[in-house]
Amino acid sequence: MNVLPEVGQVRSMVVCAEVTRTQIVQYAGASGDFSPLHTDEPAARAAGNASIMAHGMMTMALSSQIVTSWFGADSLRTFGVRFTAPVWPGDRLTTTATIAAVDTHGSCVRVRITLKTTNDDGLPVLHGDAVVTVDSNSKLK
Amino acid sequence: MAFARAVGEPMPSPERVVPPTFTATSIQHDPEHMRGMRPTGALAVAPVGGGELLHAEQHFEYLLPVHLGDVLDVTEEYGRRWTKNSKRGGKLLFTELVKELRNQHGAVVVRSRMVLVETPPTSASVDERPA
Repeated sequence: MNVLPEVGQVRSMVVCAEVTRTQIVQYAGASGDFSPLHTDEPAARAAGNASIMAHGMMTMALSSQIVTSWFGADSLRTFGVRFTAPVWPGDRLTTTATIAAVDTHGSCVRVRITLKTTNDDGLPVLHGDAVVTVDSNSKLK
Repeated sequence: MAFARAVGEPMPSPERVVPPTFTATSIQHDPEHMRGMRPTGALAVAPVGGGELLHAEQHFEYLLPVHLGDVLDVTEEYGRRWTKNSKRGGKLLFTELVKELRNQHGAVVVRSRMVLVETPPTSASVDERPA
């Protein structure tokens, strides 16, 4: 079954049920970013924050999964985001992907997707967009 | 593997391309990074005006697939710099850092652009801070 996306089509998924300090520290170890803002609670508080905050790149990695689970990681051509608010321990993150454009060139279909990740209060923490290319005969999930 | 665990990706496999943001962890291959608790590269950029330095934007362009076992070479250079007035007074200073990653065959696989923002020291308000 050929199930190419249509402009306006929306998918949403919880990309992290609950951000924890442990996960933030785990991401620090994986990425090499040990900034005190992400790993040292007293230092983060002294800088005027409520607690440590998640790495923007952790939120980006989690948010990317809505695109890769839909189109496959190898279809990705560009992926860009703006980090619009901090992500705190306890946040539940939901990413919504909306198909913004579908352009067909022969058997190659170029799809532009806009992304938004929000916390439990509905506050956007990430805005982004991605471009994927897929074969017009591909079978998407 | 540590990256996959931290962000809930499947375990790495030679058949799959690496996760979209994985190449941003290339600092892990700098033997001097975090030695004596001192970061290198973009993470070593210190705020000049006493404010906080935050990650405002990140952009990737994927030119060729990256697989487990590829050996990547990274070049890093500063791009544009600009300022914007903060809603809370003072100026936000933006700095762009552009990276190009080449594989073992000399082909560019990924280009990335990171935008860092330095907030003014007195504008400690959560609502206008990027993460």
